[in-house]
Amino acid sequence: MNEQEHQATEALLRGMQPARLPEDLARALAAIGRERLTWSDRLLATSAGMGAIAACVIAGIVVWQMMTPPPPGPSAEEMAARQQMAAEYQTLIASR
Amino acid sequence: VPEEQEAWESWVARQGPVALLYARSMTGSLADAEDALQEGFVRFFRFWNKGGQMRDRAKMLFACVRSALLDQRRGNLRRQRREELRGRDMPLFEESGEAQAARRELVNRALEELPEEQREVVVMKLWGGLTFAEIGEAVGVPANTAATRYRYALEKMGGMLLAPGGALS
Repeated sequence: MNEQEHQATEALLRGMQPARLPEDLARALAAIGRERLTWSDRLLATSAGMGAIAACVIAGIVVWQMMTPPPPGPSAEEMAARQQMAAEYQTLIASR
Repeated sequence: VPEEQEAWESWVARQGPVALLYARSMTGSLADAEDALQEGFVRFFRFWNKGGQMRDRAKMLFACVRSALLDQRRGNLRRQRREELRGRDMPLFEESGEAQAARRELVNRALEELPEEQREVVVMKLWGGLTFAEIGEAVGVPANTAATRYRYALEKMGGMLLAPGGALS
């Protein structure tokens, strides 16, 4: 094939117009730009979601602590008895 | 952002037909080509968001559609969709009058008879407007190999089109 034939073939082929996209396919491809989330969008959405979950957990713990009464401490008699027992122990050691 | 969406739709309108021609020339089935094209555009959209150069975008689109076609061949077939679209067909090139119908058929046939690696280079070069270097990157071969494939392909197609009864005879 000489150069002239090569160019004629190329020109003929280049002159052919690719068929247009079917309507439904064109719509589907155009929609990709609307529907797809970018990575930065995904990161933002993930961060916001995790932040919301953390906030819920903290709020839950605070409310739970407010609703639960504190555990009762030892009574005055119990404290006095404990101190007395400790003193007896020291006396026993000193006597030996 | 509306401007970005507008730019995307304009890109789809400009490059979609060439990408579809490429996919169809590689699969021989409109349904498979449409599936691969959609998947290819989804992959390409990630690149689009990075805001690459226009030339790079054209090359990248072909690379994405190509990888979607290869995946499809590996067995990732959407059989249900294919069934839905079975029997649906359309010409590879625009209709432009009765006189051109024969020429279009001849070009279709010439394209079909090329080996696949030559066919994809022809589509990317003639209708995609890529350079040999860009084609090489999209296909994964050196630019010289792409140029050689193109030359062989054009010789074969020219042979058919120049033969008696051909479009250029």
